[in-house]
Amino acid sequence: MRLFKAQHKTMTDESLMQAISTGDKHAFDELYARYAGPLLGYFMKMLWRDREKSEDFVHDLFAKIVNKPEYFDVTRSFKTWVYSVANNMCKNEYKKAEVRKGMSNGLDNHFSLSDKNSNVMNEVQDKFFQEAFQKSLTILDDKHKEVFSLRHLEGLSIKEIADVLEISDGTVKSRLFYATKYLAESLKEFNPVENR
Amino acid sequence: MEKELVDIIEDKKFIELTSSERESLKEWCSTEEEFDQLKLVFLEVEQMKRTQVMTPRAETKNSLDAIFAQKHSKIPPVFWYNSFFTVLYPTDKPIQRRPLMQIAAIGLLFLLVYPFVSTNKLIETTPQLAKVEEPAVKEELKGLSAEKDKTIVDDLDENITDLPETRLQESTIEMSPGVEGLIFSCPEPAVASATYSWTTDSRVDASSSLTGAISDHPDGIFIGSSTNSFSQAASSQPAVFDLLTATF
Repeated sequence: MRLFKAQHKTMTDESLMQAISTGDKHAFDELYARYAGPLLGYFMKMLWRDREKSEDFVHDLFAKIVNKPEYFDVTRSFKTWVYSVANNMCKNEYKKAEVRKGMSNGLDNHFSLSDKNSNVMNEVQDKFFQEAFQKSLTILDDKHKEVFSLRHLEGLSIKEIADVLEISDGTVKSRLFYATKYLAESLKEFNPVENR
Repeated sequence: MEKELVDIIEDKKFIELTSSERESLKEWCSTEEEFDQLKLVFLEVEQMKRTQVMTPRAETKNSLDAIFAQKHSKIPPVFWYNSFFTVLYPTDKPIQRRPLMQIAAIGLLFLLVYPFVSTNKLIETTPQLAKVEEPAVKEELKGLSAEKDKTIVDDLDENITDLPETRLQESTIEMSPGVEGLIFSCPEPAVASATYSWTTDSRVDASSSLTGAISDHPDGIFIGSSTNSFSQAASSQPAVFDLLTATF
C-alpha cells in the first residue's frame, strides 16, 4: 500500500490525468490534493473573494476533469491547461455579472465590497495593510489582476501565462508592469518612507 | 518582472543597490519611494502565499468522490497484482528504467553470454564424448589383435625353425578358433611331427599326413618340398573340416 501511494506521489500531473481517465481513484485524489487549494485561492482572488462561488468553481472544474478527461491534451502542460480553464470560467462569470448588473436596479455587489474596502484602507494603517492589499487586488482590472495573480501568487512563468491567457509574452509583461505599478501606487499611504 | 529583480527588491535596501542593479530596476522604480512601494507589494505577496493556504471544504471533495464513483462504477476494483504490475512496469517511466524490462534484458544477456562461457568447460570435463577419438580406439583394438596373431605366428615359426636342432620335438600349439589364415611353412627341409590341439578339444595327428614322410637321410632329415600338406582329405576328418570351414 505504501508503494502504491508513493507511486502516485511521484507521478506527473499529466500521468495522473491519464490514470484518472482509466478510473484510478488514487490518481484523482492526488491531483485534487495538488491543485484544489491553489485553484480555490485563484478563484477567490478573481471572483471578488467570494468563498461560496469559489468553492463552486473548484467543484465544477474538478467535475469536468472527472467527466471529460479527454478534453485535456496530453501534449500540453496540465498546469497551463487547468489555469486556462479556470480563467475561462472566470471570464464567463464576468460576462454573467455584467448581464446581472444591467438587469439590476443599479446596485453592484462587487463594487459595494470595494467601496467598503476603500473605507477600510482609509481608516486603518499598517496593521491592516494586508487587507488593503487584497482589496486593491480585488478592484484591479480583471485582465491585469489575472496576470498578477498567475505570476506572483500561482507562480506561473511568463510563457505559461501567455499560454493560459492566449496572449503574447510582451502583453503579459506589459500587463504585469501595469498591475504592479498600480498596486504600489494604491498602497502609497503605507509607505514608511512617505510617512516619515 | 523577472524573478531576480523581485528578489533584489525583497532582499535589499535602495541605498544598497549597485549601479548595475539600479540600471536593471530603472524601468520599474527610479526613486527610493517607488522602490519601497514595490518592496511592500512583493513582501505582501510573499506573506499571502505563506499564510493564505486555502483548503476547499470537505463537502466539495465528497461531492466529487460521488461523481467519480458514478462515472467509474463499472470499473472493477484495483487488485493487489495490479499495483504489483504497476511497480514492475510503471508506464510513466522511460522503458529502460522499468524493472521488468531490466530483468528481461539481464536474462537475455545471460542467455547470449552463457554458451561462450560454458563451451571450454564442456570440452575439458568430458573428453570421452569426442567422436574423433573413437576410430583410434578401434585401431588400437585391431592393433592388439594383430599383434596377438603375429605373436602366435612367430612362436610357431620359432618352433618350426628349432626343429632341426631338437629333432622331432613335439610342440603343442594352442590355437583359438578366431585365428585366421594360418600357413605352415618351413624354410629348410625338416621332418615335423607336431600335434595341434584346438580349444574345441579336437586333436589331429599331423605326422601321418605329411607328404613323403619317410626320409632317406640317416639323421631323418627330409630334403624336398617345404610345403606341408595333409595327405588325408579334410572331409574324412570332421574335426579338421570343421576347423577349416570355421577359419575360412
